[in-house]
Amino acid sequence: MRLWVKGKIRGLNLERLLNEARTQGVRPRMIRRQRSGEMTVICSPKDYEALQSLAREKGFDMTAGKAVGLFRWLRALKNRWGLGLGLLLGCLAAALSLRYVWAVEVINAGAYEADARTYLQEIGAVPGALRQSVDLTRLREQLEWRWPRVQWVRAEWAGVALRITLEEGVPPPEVKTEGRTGDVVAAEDGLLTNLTVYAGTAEKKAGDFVRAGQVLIRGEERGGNGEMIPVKARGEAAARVWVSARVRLPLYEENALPTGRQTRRTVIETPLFALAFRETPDYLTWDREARRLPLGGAWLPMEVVRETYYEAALETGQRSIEDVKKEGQRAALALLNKALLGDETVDKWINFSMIDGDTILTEATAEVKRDIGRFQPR
Amino acid sequence: MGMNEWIAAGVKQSAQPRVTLNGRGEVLVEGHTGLFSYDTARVRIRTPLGILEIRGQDLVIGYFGAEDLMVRGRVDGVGIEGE
Repeated sequence: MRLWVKGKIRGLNLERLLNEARTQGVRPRMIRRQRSGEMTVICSPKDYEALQSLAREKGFDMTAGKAVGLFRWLRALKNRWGLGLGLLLGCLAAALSLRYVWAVEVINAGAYEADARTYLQEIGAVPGALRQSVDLTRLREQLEWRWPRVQWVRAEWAGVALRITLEEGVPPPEVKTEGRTGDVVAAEDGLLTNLTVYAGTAEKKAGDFVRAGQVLIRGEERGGNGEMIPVKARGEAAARVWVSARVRLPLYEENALPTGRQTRRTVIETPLFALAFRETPDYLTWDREARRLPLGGAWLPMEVVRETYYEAALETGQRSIEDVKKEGQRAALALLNKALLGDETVDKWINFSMIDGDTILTEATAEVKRDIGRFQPR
Repeated sequence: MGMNEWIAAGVKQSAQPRVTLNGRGEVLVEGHTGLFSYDTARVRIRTPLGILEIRGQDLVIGYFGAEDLMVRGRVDGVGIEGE
């Protein structure tokens, strides 16, 4: 490594100075001419001194040399030797400190952390120990043998710290409750055809007849240690249920037969009052016919109502049973279809029965397949 | 050749060092970028093409300018060392 000094020389006939310097053994690194009468010289400190004395002797003007490159920094350090010494000691301390263990980290150890730290102390892998005394490969193997349930162990250097990372084996799946616990109960009576349990414990089985409200799937599961864990029961309870719809229709009906008598009258109606030119007739029963004729009016709309009353005599007549049955069947099936909600229908039938001799009860029943399970929180 | 290309060619041409050997006693170097080293047997000059070396005997710096330099003496050879 060579140290260089840079300076300027001013004067006339600089070539003569260069040739003279050459004869004295001065070997510059670089010489550049800036302008007439001035050039820049870079050479060793010793050559620079020689050149300076020669320049003075020959009448040239030469500036004081300035260190360039690394020499410049070394010269600065020469005046601040404490800084240099401090830097050197600092680097030395850093290099020495890297040979030791400064910290021990145990990550993701869970229940094994205390045992891990105790074991590391036993083998001497503690802060302050020499790094070369810790064999990472052997340490990892020993830890894996020590904890069979641990999936893997990683031992590595993280800067100046010894880091031990553990990963346990695949744990048992978590029992998810997703909110409140509860049971699956039967929403209605039915015959279970299939019971699928997603969560909980089955209380019934296919082929059981269940009543509404009975527990089909209990919201409990057995955990890994044998204890019962409350869960939110989930599942499907397919069952055959029977849905009915009833309609009552009377056999007798009253018919109004006109007697021939009729009465007409005219009424002027407004929103505020009605003006009739005749009283209503005193018929026991009648049928009324009304024709309305608007008269107009912006602030008081007015209508003329022409009414006709037809006197009628009520007569009770019996309807045909078949007619009543047909009407009842139509009505019962319409109600039943509304209640089925699109379920898969297995069978459907109609039953008729007479009540008190004057009423036909029509009952439409359908057997359907439906999921009767309903979640009931506790 | 367009104006810009002509100027670029001229600029490129002027950046090229020119060495003129006058007999065996004088070498004029134009377009140098500094005097690298010199003694009686060898003068090395920096140029854009590399280090120009003049070999000879009793070599002296006859003229040293900002862009041209003259070496006098018995010139035995001139060569360029690639940078």
